[in-house]
Amino acid sequence: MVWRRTPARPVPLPDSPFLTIVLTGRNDGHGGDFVARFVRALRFNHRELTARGIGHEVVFVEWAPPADAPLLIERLFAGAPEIEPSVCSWYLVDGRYQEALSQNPRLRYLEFLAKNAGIRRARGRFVLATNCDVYLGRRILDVLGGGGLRPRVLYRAPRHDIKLTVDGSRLDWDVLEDPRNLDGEAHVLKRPYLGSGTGDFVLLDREAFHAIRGFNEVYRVARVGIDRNLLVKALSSGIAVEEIGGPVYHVNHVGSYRARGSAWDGREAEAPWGDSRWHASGVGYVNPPDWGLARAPERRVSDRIVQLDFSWDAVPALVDLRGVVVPVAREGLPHPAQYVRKR
Amino acid sequence: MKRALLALLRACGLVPARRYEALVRETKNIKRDRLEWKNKAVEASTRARSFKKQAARQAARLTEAVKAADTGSRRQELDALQARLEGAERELTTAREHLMVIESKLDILEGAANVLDARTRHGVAPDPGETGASA
Repeated sequence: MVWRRTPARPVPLPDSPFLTIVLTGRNDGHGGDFVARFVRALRFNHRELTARGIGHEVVFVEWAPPADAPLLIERLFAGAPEIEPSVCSWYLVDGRYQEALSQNPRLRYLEFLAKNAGIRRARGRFVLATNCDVYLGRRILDVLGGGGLRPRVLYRAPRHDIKLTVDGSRLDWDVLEDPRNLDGEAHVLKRPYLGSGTGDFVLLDREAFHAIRGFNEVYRVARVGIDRNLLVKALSSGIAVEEIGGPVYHVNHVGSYRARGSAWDGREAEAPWGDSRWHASGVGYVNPPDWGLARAPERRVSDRIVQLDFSWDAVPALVDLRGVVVPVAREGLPHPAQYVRKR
Repeated sequence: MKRALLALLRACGLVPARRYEALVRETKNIKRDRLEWKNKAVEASTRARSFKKQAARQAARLTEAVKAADTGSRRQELDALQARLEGAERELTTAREHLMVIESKLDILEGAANVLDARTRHGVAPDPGETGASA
């Protein structure tokens, strides 16, 4: 058993891969066939990155796994034997963090706190925060392989949704790139690139991710909009936001926000992802220095798995009003107050 | 022994009196803070509305002035009005920004009050005495 603490600042890692992909999830059947969708996307992305010689690791955060189901990791690698342990770091997060961090009992999964735990522990020069059922597009792979990424630029990609009726078990380039398989029109991002599936593709160098201290951990009343709010923070911190030049693909499934969002019209505050009308596009935040569960005791339980044990020391204050701030306006960009939708 | 007793009490929906009182105190504080911030939000909202009206008035005057601007003195008046309009717009933007921050803080306070209320009622939270935490 090995105990260690996560360092407070990013330290240069000589053997770090070019890219870390940060993912989070748990074996709770989200979207119907979560494990199958996850395995397919992971194998696809791993295969394409490997084929282009792009050094990468996957950091997976299994957040508050349900006690009455097998761990996700137990089901994953049986379906993806080609992914070696050295490519994938797996963090199991004690379920008590979910309760201790909650500011809204309707949220059963604090997705962005889970992502922060992964971002904090990522080793890659660039860190991609994305979702388990997202496929990297060809243009994105070309940019990653071409070495054209710049530090202090946050890259975004539009999300192309594939119809629910498409057979998910045989997804290849022909299926993904066939416009007939798109569910609705292809999304086009507009400056300053705040909206439209932000959480599916946020790519930034590791140092800058540490500088802005990840996704908002102060406002934990909603899950929806926290991805967009990261962009407000980035712009406010002088980080450029650019479109990478091509899409990611996402296969529609039951229960997604896009599919179910309108079901909560008129009772937004009761939605399982929180009230979508909060000022995600208009306020900034300052996370504590030990963001990302930095002070959680780490216990290695196998060559693949590290357990983040519970400690109140790792839990930020329930209320930290000083952490909600007015964002800084930047020349050449719309004023932050003009990003917003009115309540 | 103490832990077993606490667990037994928790199973019955009970928490130690010390913990209960602390949570009640915390909840009261948060409720008080929430009221304070709510008042600030109302004030800021009123200010924002006033700035908005002011901006609309200035814009209307500006339009009228543009129509009538045919002499040098009119031109000066027009420039002054333009400057005042820009100032009012800046103030409106600032007021709106602060209002958003206040509303977000209110959301947090309301969420925290709800969470503490639930913890007080159901004794869900682990006793800090057991974990050594600075809760």
